[in-house]
Amino acid sequence: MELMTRQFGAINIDETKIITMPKGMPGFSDLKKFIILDHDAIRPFHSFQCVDDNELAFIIMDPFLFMTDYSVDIEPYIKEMEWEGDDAEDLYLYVIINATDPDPRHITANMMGPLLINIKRNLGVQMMVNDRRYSNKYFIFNEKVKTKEGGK
Amino acid sequence: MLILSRKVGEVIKIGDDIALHVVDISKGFVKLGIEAPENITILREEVYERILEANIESAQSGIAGLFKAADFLKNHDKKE
Repeated sequence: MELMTRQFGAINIDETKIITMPKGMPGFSDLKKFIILDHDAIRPFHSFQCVDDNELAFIIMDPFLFMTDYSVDIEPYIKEMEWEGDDAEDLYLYVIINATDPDPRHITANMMGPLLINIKRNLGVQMMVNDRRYSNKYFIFNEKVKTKEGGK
Repeated sequence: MLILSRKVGEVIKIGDDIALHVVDISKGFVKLGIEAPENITILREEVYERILEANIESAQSGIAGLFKAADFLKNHDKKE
């Protein structure tokens, strides 16, 4: 089906890949249907486009690409979503990126509210991580940028 | 809002399966112990508020910033 997207204009999407977020997301609890869009120009980011509202799209990313020791407890969510026994390979964890600052070095990720997506069931949930190590605005280029500037 | 006074060691029951224990009170902090079924989400309010705030702000991220960021990342990786 054709979908008008916030970031890529009108595109054809595969309806079988639409992800339902039964509880919605804080701030957007009425919006339940999303799709993950990939594009060469934005890799390793992905767009998490809302299907119910064309104007809403998040940018998401695999957190382990910039924080290899990121660790959150998915068990309570597995139970809540009734995904016990599902293959771990079908579960994907993403963090939501804030790229509202025009300087790419100021891009942040919300480490407190990762998305846990079950690609087999096409279901997702936004986790709420109660862990003081993780901020809702983590500078993803933090260490790399520092290294670079320090090496000048 | 229902307001109750409790001493350290006392408990408030909410329904059949939630119990709130007042564990300790000192220096302006109340330490609470919470017994509840596993399917009930318990969070400090700030956690929810911060996720809400980040969601709303992140939804404003534009495509231009994203292209720049992806570019920045690719160039960055190449240099390393």
